[in-house]
Amino acid sequence: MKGHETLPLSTSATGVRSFDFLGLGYRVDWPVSIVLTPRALKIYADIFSFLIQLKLAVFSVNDVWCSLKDLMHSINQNRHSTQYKREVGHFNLLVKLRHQVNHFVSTLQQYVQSQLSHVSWCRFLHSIKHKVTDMMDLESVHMAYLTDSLDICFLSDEARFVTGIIESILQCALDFRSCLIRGIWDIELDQGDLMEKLSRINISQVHAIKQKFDKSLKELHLCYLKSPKHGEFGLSRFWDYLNYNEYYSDVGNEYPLFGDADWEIQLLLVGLGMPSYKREEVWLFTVKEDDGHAIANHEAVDGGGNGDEQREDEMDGDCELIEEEDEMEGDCGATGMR
Amino acid sequence: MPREIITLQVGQCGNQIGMEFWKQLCLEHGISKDGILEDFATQGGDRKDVFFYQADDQHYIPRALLMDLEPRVINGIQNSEYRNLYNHENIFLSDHGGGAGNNWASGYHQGKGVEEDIMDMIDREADGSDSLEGFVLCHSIAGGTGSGMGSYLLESLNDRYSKKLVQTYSVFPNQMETSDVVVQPYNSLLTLKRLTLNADCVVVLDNTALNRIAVERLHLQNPTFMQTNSLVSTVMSASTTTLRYPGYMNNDLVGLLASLIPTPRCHFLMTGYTPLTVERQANVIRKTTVLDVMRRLLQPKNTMVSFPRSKEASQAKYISILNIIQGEVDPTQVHESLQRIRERKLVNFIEWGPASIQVALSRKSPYVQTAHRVSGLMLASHTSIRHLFSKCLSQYEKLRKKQAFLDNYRKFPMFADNDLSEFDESRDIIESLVDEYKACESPDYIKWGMEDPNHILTGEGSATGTVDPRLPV
Repeated sequence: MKGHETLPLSTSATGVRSFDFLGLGYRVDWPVSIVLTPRALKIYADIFSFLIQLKLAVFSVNDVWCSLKDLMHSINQNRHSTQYKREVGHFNLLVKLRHQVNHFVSTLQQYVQSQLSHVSWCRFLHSIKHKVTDMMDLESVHMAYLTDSLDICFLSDEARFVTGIIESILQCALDFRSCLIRGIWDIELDQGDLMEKLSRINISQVHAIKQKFDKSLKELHLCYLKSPKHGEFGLSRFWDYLNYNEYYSDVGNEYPLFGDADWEIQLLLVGLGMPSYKREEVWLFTVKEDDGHAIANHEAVDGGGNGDEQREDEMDGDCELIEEEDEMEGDCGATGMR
Repeated sequence: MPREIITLQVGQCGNQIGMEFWKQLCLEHGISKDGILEDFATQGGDRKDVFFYQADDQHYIPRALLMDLEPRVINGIQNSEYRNLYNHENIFLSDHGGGAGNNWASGYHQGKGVEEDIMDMIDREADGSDSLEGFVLCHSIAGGTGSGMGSYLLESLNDRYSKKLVQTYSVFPNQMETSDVVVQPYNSLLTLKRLTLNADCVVVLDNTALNRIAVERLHLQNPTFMQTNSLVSTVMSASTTTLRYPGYMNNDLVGLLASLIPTPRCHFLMTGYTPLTVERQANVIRKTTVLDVMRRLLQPKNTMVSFPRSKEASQAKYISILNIIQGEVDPTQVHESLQRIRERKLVNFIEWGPASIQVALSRKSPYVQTAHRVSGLMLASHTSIRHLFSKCLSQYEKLRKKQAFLDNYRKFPMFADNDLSEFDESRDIIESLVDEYKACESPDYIKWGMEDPNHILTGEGSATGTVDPRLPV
């Protein structure tokens, strides 16, 4: 892609799975196939798709950043105009939403890079060195590595609900981009026509994206509260990164992660004696509620439902990328899009 | 695909730090002083084509333009052992060679006069790249050429390459000692306006801090320019490692900047580096773990911007942080270090949005031997930078009140007929910048400077049409 003028993506709405036509596959012959089983290859392919989705989201928020900085130049040029203040208001809304989505996406990227390409990979190498005596050992150590990798990317069967939430947030990044790019760049305008540009951004659409983002984040938080807090990979660690400055746990913030509605649902669930609530948990729940932390059970709230259907992964075999086996080192660093 | 970056070195300081930067890049990529790839450096896995291109004879040539209005520094480069590194067509020296006399207006005006020549050079370099990502400007803000001509270049780049990124490495003057450039406050203010309006990212290199580091941390009695410049080149090369040794993330400039700069106006970054050494100085070898490195990076004594020690300064907050860590790192330590830093509350973050410390583990050049196992660079957006701008403003006010030295400026068209509105406007813009950084320290920042008559933002709003600061956006 050459510069920003000729982006390969159209400005119309893009799905986070638009690149699913790109798959990762290897033709593996015996004896390598003893270790690189079809099941293992499927995992590599799934992780590859996930990394592509994430890259696409990162690309989208970066592109939004570029649009916003261009808008800011226009705002600067119009800084003496009477409408300046109002423009700044719209602008701030966009900036804030981008910041939040960007934080999510780049934190996820950081988490995946660190856990997948560094931590679990190092552990795998360590296991190969110390635990492997024969081919079967190698197969099992490798599968253990892949199981870890699936957990890291929230792609395991148990994490399906989280997968859906993350996908919906990544989609927010793409929608945000489409919404902005369409507004700003569809018709070529003179630099000065800032009001035009800003007014053609569909603010109510931006709001809808923001609401979807907030909702998904709340769901993710509920999942986090329910997830085991130890464990090296998985949601608890990702949430630690995401909430590093405790923005999402501060009740005073605009993030009422536990609105009254949530609270009532929780009470109701407890009242109904939902089986997953033990007495201790109920007690914890009450104590912690004071500072805005509650223990929740997302499955009870949502029945673990939405998103599962979309997750029925079909990896079309038509479009395989055939590579040499020895490049199959699980190195996920090679998936950069640019 | 490379995302190429073109470097523009303007003025004495810009060319000096630029030269140091290229020396360091050559070392790290195994490129000789003549631009030839060393025999030992053929198996790199590094990405040289972001900053260099290869000539027909396979020589590596920096994507750099060297510009000055007086010949001393560039002649020095052309007589040095690096004389064959640069493309000679990329060197611009003014015909008269008389410099800009430490006068911003002169530099700006002369820049305008030679715009065509310089834009030709820039266009040629831009056409030579596949997918140009942007420009990096190296300059000082206090003198005449780097500040004035640099300012003019920033404006022209904005016009001509509005879709490309413009990053600068801007050297701020030492405010502890009296400068030989008395009009430094004027020059700085006028340049700051362009850095605010026309650059996408400014890496602030504060000479006050660089000197302090040289004296206090490196125990040099009277640090030379050479020595402080080597600090600068360390920072510059380290801040580009993720571009030159790419991994899954932070592998292009827009990715780096888009995370570090959440609000486009607050685009001034400070840096920190550890462990610090000056060129070829035998340094004390210390135990360096990831936690040590990350902790040291947060200490003001290692940052290359100086802060006042006041109660107000202690309110300062980090808007964003990226740590680029190189060397032998146990990746599991990264998470532990981050947890430790959080538990000990070593970082004061903004409250109006999510923020965290990003860590990039980057490869290190195999061709450069260092005594320490791990080194780290911090790039951060920190609200304390406003104190540096306030200082510039107050120095300007002092000089302006006395109406001192304005005659030199009135000689040039921008200030002709005693029209000093350019000064006033620059001051307003910098004041507003200081205010915005100050607002960043409050939890309500995101509503800064806005009215919301139609309640579009909140859907609630008060009857008067202003936003109640307590309402969520």
